[in-house]
Order: sequence, then C-alpha cells, then structure tokens
Amino acid sequence: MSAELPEVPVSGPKRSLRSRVSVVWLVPVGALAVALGIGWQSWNDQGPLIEVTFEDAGGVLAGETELRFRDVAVGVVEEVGFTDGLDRVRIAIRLDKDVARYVDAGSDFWIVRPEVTTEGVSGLDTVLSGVYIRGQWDGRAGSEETSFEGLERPPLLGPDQQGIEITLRATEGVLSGNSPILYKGVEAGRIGEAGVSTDGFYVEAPGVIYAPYDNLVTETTRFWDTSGFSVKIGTGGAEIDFDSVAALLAGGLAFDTFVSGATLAEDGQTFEVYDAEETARNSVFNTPDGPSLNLVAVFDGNVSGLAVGAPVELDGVRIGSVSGLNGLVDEERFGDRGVRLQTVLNILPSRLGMATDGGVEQALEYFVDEVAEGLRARLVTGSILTGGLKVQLIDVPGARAATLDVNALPYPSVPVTQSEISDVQATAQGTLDRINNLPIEELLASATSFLENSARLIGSEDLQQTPGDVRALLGDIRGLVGSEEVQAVPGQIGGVMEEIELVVSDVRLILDEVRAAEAVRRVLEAVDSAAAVTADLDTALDGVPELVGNLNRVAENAADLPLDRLLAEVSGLAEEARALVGAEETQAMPGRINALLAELEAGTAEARGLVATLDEEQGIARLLDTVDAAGAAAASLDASLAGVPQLVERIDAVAATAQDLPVEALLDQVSGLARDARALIGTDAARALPGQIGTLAGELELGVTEARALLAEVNAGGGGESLVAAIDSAARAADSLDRSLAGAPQLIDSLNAVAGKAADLPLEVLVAEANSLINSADRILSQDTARALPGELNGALDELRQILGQVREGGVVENANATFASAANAADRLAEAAQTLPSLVSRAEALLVTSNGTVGVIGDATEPALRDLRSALRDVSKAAEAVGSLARAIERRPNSLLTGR
Amino acid sequence: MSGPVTARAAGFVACTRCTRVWPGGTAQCGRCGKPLVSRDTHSLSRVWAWWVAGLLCYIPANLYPMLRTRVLFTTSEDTIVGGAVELALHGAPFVALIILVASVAIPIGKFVAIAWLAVSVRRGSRTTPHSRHRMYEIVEYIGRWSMIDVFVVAILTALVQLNLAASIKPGPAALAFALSVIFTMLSAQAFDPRLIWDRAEDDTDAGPRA
Repeated sequence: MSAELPEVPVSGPKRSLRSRVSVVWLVPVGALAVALGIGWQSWNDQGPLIEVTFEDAGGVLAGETELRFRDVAVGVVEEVGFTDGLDRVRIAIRLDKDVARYVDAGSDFWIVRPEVTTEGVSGLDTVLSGVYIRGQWDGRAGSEETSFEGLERPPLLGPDQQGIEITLRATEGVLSGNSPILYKGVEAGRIGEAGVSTDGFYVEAPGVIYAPYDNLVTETTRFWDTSGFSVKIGTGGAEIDFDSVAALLAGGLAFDTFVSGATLAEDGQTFEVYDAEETARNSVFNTPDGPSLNLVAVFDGNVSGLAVGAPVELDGVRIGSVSGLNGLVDEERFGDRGVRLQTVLNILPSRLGMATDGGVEQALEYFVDEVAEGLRARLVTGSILTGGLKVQLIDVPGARAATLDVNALPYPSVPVTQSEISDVQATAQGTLDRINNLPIEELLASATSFLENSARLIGSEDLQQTPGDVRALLGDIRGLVGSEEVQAVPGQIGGVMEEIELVVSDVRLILDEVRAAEAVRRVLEAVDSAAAVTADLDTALDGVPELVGNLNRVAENAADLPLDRLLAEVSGLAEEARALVGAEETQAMPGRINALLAELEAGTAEARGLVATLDEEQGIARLLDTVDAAGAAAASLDASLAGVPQLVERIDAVAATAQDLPVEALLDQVSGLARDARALIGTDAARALPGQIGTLAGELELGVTEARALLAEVNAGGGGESLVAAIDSAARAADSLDRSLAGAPQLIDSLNAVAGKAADLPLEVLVAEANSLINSADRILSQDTARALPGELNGALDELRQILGQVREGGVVENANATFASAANAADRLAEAAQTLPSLVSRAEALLVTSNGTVGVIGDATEPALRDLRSALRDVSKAAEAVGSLARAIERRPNSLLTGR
Repeated sequence: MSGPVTARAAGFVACTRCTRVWPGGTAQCGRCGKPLVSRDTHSLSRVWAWWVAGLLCYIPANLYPMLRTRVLFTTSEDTIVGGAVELALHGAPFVALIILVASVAIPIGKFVAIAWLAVSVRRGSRTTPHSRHRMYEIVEYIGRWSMIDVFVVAILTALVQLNLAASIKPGPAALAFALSVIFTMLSAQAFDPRLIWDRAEDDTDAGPRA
C-alpha cells in the first residue's frame, strides 16, 4: 500500500503562498480591520470630559442623563460622584466633540426638572424621560474649560435673549421671587430669587428686562408691586383691579417711565420698588434723582407712631425720609437689655442743594461738622390728629460732645436728644366731646327769635328818637370838656404821673427784694393751686350744658318781654340827665377836681416816702409770707370748688325755676319805677345836687391837704413799723382764713343742699312778694317825702362838710400813730377771730344742716310730693360729700390724677 | 490490516457531493462535476480562519447591546448577558437559562469543540475517532440553532413598533452575533471529518507497518 503513496498530491516546497494560505483568512483579517477601525473612530470621536458641580443631583443618572443644548443632546453623564468633603455633587459629562470647543468659561449648566408654578408647568417631559442637564453657552469658541459650577435655577436671560440685568430693591416684602415684570400687561422681564440685602434693611432681587423692552427702562423708570388686587368703590360703581392672574397669585412688578428723555438704564443699576402705581408716580416728582445718604439714629423709649416714609426735617425743611425701622438689642453698646429703635434716615443731598455728583460725600462731611457742633436727631409729633411722628434734626446748644462715626456699620449713626412727643389726642377728644354735647341748636333757635324781637324793637319809634337825645347829650358833654378847667386837667395829671413814676421806681426796688426772696417759687406754688382749681372748674363745667339749656329758655322768655316800653322810659331818663349835666354847677365841677388832683399829687409824694419806709422795714418778706398764706388759701379754695359742680346743678335747677317766674309783671313794675325815678330827677332839689357836690369836693380838697400833712407826720413818726406789724397780722389772718377755708367744702356741700331745697321752694310766692315790695317802693317814690329826699341829702352833705372842717381843725394828726397801733391790735384780734372761724364755719355748717332739715320740713308741709325728691337729694348730698372727699384726696396727692391711683 | 479499507487506501477517491467513487488521481467528478480531492489539505487552514473571524465577531456581540427597548420616553439597552441577568433577577430564571444556553453556552462550546477537533487532527487525541466524529456532527447540527437569538431580535423588532409607546430596535450586537454564528458554522463546515479517521488509521497502522 505504501508503494502507491507517491500518487497522493501532497504539499511541496514549490507551492506558492496563495496555495498554502486559504483565501478565507481574509475574512478574519477584514473583521479585525473593521473592529480596529471602529475602535479607533469611536476613540477619535470621543469629546472631552467636563465636570459640573451641583448642590444636589436629583434624578441624574450616569450613562443616561443627557446634556442638552437648545434641546439637542450634546453629551451624556458618565459619572455621578462627590467633590472632596462631600460638599457638592460632581457630575462628569462626556461632551460631543463638535460642541466641545464652544463650552468655555461663560457656560452655564442647570438641571431641568418638572416644575409647577403659578404661571404654568415647565419641564413636563422630564417627568417621564427623567431630568436632563441643560447647558447654555455662546456661539464663540473659547479656551476649553473642564470644571464648572452648576446653577441651581435657570438663568434669567436665556441663550437667545438679550436684555439688561438690574437689581430691584424694596423696603418691605413686596418683592416675590420668580415672578414676571409687566409692562402694560405684557411680560417684559422677570425677577429672580429675592433675598435680604446684607445690611438687613431691604429685600433685593435680580431682575432682567428683555430686549426690546430694555429701551423702555431709563433712570427715571419706576417699578411697583402689582400683586394682589385693589377694590375701589366710587360714583362709577365698584371696581376691582388686578394685572394678571399670575401676578395676583404670585406677585409681580410693573414698571413705567413717567418722564421721557432720561438716559437709558445700564446693567447692574438698582431700582426702588414702590407698593403702588400712585406712590411710584408721585415719587418721580417728589424725590429728585440722585444718590442718597443713609444715616442711622437710635431712639429709646416708646416711639409708636413712627413709620417708614416719615419725613426727616432739618430746620423745618424736609431733606429725606425714614427708610427703615427695626428694633435693636445690644447690651454691650447700651449697657442694658432694652429694645431700641434703629431708624435709617435716607437723606437726599440734592435737597440740601448739593450737587448730584459727589453730593453724598459732601453731605456726609456736612453732617460730621454739624454733629460736632451739636446737631442731634429727635422725634417730634408730626400730626396731632394721627399721632404720627417725624424725625427732626436740630441744633442742641450745649449738648454733650459727640461725633458722627463715618465708618460705623451699617451706616453712620447720628446722636439723638430728648424727643418731644405730645399726646394731645385724649385732651382734644375730651374737649370736643364736651363741645359736642352743648345744645347749640336750641340756643341758636332762641337767639333767632330774640333777634327777631330785637329787630322789632329797633324799628320802634322810641328807639328812633333815642339817638337824637344822645347826640344832644354828647354836645353838652363836649362843651363841658372844652372848658378851660378840663383843659388844665391833663397838666395836673402829668404831675401826678411823675409822682407815680417815682413810686414805681421804689416799687421796683421792692420787687427786686421780692425776687431775691424766692417769691416767684411761692407764687408758682400758688399758681399750682390755681391750676388745680381750674381742673375742678373743668369738672364743674359738666353741669354747664344743662345750665345753658335753662339759660336758653330764660333767654326765650326774655325775648318776649316788653322791652320797648322800658326803653321809652330810659330815653326820657337820658333827657333828664342831659338837663342835669347842662346845669352850671356841673360845669363848675372840673375846677374843683383840678384842685383835688393837685392835692392828690402832693399826697402821692407822701405815700412815696411811706413806701420807702416800708422798704426799710423789710415788710416785703412778710408780705411774701402773706402770699404763701394766700396760696394755701387758694388750695383750700380748690378743695372747696370740688363741691361746685353740684352747686351748679342746683343753680341750674333754680334757673329752671326762675324761668317760670312772672318776670314780665316785675318788669312792668321796674318800668314804673324808672318812670318815677325820672320824675324824681326832674325835681329842683336834684338839680341842686351838683352844686352841693362841688362844695363837697372843695371840702375834700382841704381834707386831702390835711391827709397829706398827716402822711408827712406818719413818715416822721414810727408809722411804718406799725404798718408792718399790721401786715404781719394780715398774714396771720390769711393763715387763719386758710384754715377756715378747709371747712369750706363742707360748707359748700351744705350750700348745695340748701340750694337744692331752695330750688324746690315756691319761688312764685316770693316773686309775688317782691312784686308787691316794688309796688310799695314805687308808691314811696311817688310820695312827696321822696321828693323831699334830695333836699334832705343836700342838708346831709352840708353836715358832712362841717364835719370835715372840724376834722381838719381837730388834733387828728397827733393821734394818727396811736390809731395805727390800734389798727395793728385790731388786725391781731381779727387774726384771732379768724382762728376761731373754723369752728364758726362748722357751726354754720351745722346750722345749714339744720336749716336743710327745716326747709325739708317746709317742703314736707307744703308739697308732700317732694318727699321722694328729698330722699333723692339726700343721696345726692351724700354723693357730693363723697366727691368732696375725693377732691380732698386729689388735693393731697395731685399726681394721683396722672398715675390713676 | 484489522480496520476497514479506505477509499484512499484502495486507490480511489470519493466525491463528497454525490458519493461516487472514482479512481485515484481523477481531478473532477464525472457525474456531478465537483473537483475531487482525496484529502482537503486546506481544510484546517480554513477552519482556523473562520474560527478566528467568528471569535472576533463574538467579542462585540457580547459587549454591545443586543436590544434597544424604548418604553414611552425610557430607552434601555441590554447586552446578551446583561439581559439574561436582568431576566433572572426579575423572576424569570428559566427564560434566562434558555438565553444563556442558546447565546452563550452553545457558541462558546462550539468554539471550544471546533478548536479541539482541529488540534486533535494535527496532534492526535486519546479520544476515539467515533466520539470525535459524533462531536463533529453535533457541532454541525446544533450550529444553526444558535441563530435563535438573532431570530428573536428580528421578530421582536418587526412586531414591537408601537410608535411612541414602545419600540424595539436591534443593537449592534445582533449583527455581530449573527456574523459570529455564521462564521462558526462555516468553520465547522470547513472541517474535513475524514482527517479524524486518517489520524486514527495512522495510529493503528503504525504497528503492523513497522
């Protein structure tokens, strides 16, 4: 078998490569080539790996989450990890090669997640597909970066959006983030995330205005809050106004440029946000443009009433406003844990006339200088009605030295001084209430009717005639005045005046002493008492409205009285008087008076001497004591006044009763009386009276001359000492009076009770009696004896004249000193008597109580129906006592009115 | 000469297509026209060529995703092993086992078997030629079933095209896998089973001939 082997075609060395190696080997070689080719290409196509860090990576998955640019995937997340220290999430993204060169330093990355806001739903596709990362960069290739910081929110300006970026600032929380900025209802921009400024006074938010609306924003543009809605109810009906539903819910801003022609705003400019369009519009005209200077003033104490926007005034000129308020507790700085009010004062240098450029520095320098010279801030009441406060910068002379620390935080702090806040509200309210309660309407009605009656009266014939009479009377008087003697009177008076002048200079010396003796303080105390009296009067006023009402009714009645008849009588009376004036004796009287004045002049000179003496004798100090006593007396009077309101009520009741009286009949009687009086004046005897008086004046003149001599004597003698002693006594008497007055409140109470009773008494009967009395008087006047009375009077004057003559001739002067000493004794006694006055008062009080009871009995007897009223009055009496004790308590501690205890 | 007489030993050459036997040295089959060779000297070379190509394709077939499944907006890509593991984790271990057997065990077994056969022809083996021939038949028979994975992908891709809701696309691995299967089949076919026996005969002949 092996011999046939050579037939088998076996491979030999002559075989070619082609025959030795199968063609099939091309296949694996080709496959390898393809594989290598693919591998090389994929490696070649691979873009760079960038790293972006985020706060969190919610929903980002390695190998799945895409990086998109303009919604086209340009990369994929390869790895999700952490930065060193686990602070942030580090996401490695494999970029496509063709975009890699555009991803430079200005690129932004953020994670797009589904978001539901008031304006709609965004990123809905990511609910199912998962989140993706969005990148934003410009179309210019730059140097490649591999490390980025991701944004937490999408940037306000998209990749294709042009516009300006601004900062919005509001003092209150009207800035809500992520809301639209509207211009005439069209969304023209957006607000970013709002935050509080570093100094803590404002809310700030970045904002953008998209092109082409950015041309609408100038330096005078105003932004305002449009969130919420406004409701107006006017003549045109109700009106509800809001900008858009989104703005209604989420808030938003609107803007407008009220003034044209200003320069366009620039990137980064800050705009104030106002709370309403009106405020924004007003601000254009109210606040001139320009930078402002912020100062801080820290006030302590209660400063309710100060609000943001309150004016800041310097010497009455408004130079800014309060732009921020907050409390401040700083134990280290103030030394206690009290809350202080930190106020930010927004000063506009342009209001100080400082140029806009560099005005802030200029203004700051100004304030530094002024504060060193005493400029201080204080709070003052801005409006009495609202109680609103404002900040006032004033110069306080002699203030403690202080400086304005320019570098203080948050702003330079202006030192403060005592605030001036008056709470007039309550006082004004009480007064207004009281005025409001007065029955003005009824009074007016009565006054109207009274005026009507007056008009009728004026129209009467008698009245028409009166002016003629009066004119004639005036003619007579003019003649009298024109006489030589009267002309000489001024000269005399001039002499008197000179004397008085000298007296005054003495008095001035005395006053100096008075001042030295701290009289003022004592007088002040007395005034304080008077103030308390006033307060009581206030209480007393409570009864006044009723009194006015009654007076009102009385006035009504008065309006109805037959005055015209009375007027006719008066007219006749005037005629008579004229005749009297025209008499010769009357004409001669000026001469007498002249002489009398001359005497008086001399007398005054003497008196001056006396005053000088008084000065020497230190009478002033004693006089001051007297003033003290008077002060105490006033205090007592104050206490006494406590009972006055009740008294007013009682008088009121009496007035009510009086109103019902038959006054008309009485008036008739008075009328008749006037008629009789007229007849009496018309008698000869009456006409002779002036002559008598002239003679008497002559006598008086002589008497004064004597008195002058007497004064001279007094001056020579120790009369001054005696007088001082008398003043001492008077002081003691005043003291006693004071003590006596202590009992006065009770007395007034009793008076009250008596007045109450009196109000109940049947006055009609009394008036009837008075009527009859006047009738009697009338009858008497009409008798001959009455007519003879002037004659008698004449005789009596004669007697008087003779007595004066005797007095002059007698040795009165010698006894004058003794008389003064007696007067001093008498004053002493008076003081003693005054000391017993309290007991007297208490007795009088007891007496009045008794009389009260008596009157009650009378009332009981006459008017059984008054029993109830009397018991009521007793209650009132008790109440009055209670009020009296209250008044005493207040008198002892007046500050209890303030403290409320 | 204890074994059977082979055609080659008898000086004949058999046509492998129509099985007619011709005298040795005949270049072409007179009946079916197929070129006649007593032994394919290039057989092993072709086997190794296809084997390498198949192995090259099998690498990306396992590294790249086989299926791209998109449900709504979510796209998932699964490699063969990854998909099987996922199925096993989601409570379908039986299906996972089928996939693992059909797509991993069988192809790898084929590579190993063909390589072993080719090596044993050259270097000899203690395994009987009968066993090796049975293995060769199994490899050839089972080769086509490896395409089951590719068919599943093809059918799913055709059926699941629900527009937005869901869609399935073949991944790059599908092509690579199909190529791998084809190359291994070609590799198996390129093997000339007569070589198994030639070697066995040489071994047995050595004694008597010497």
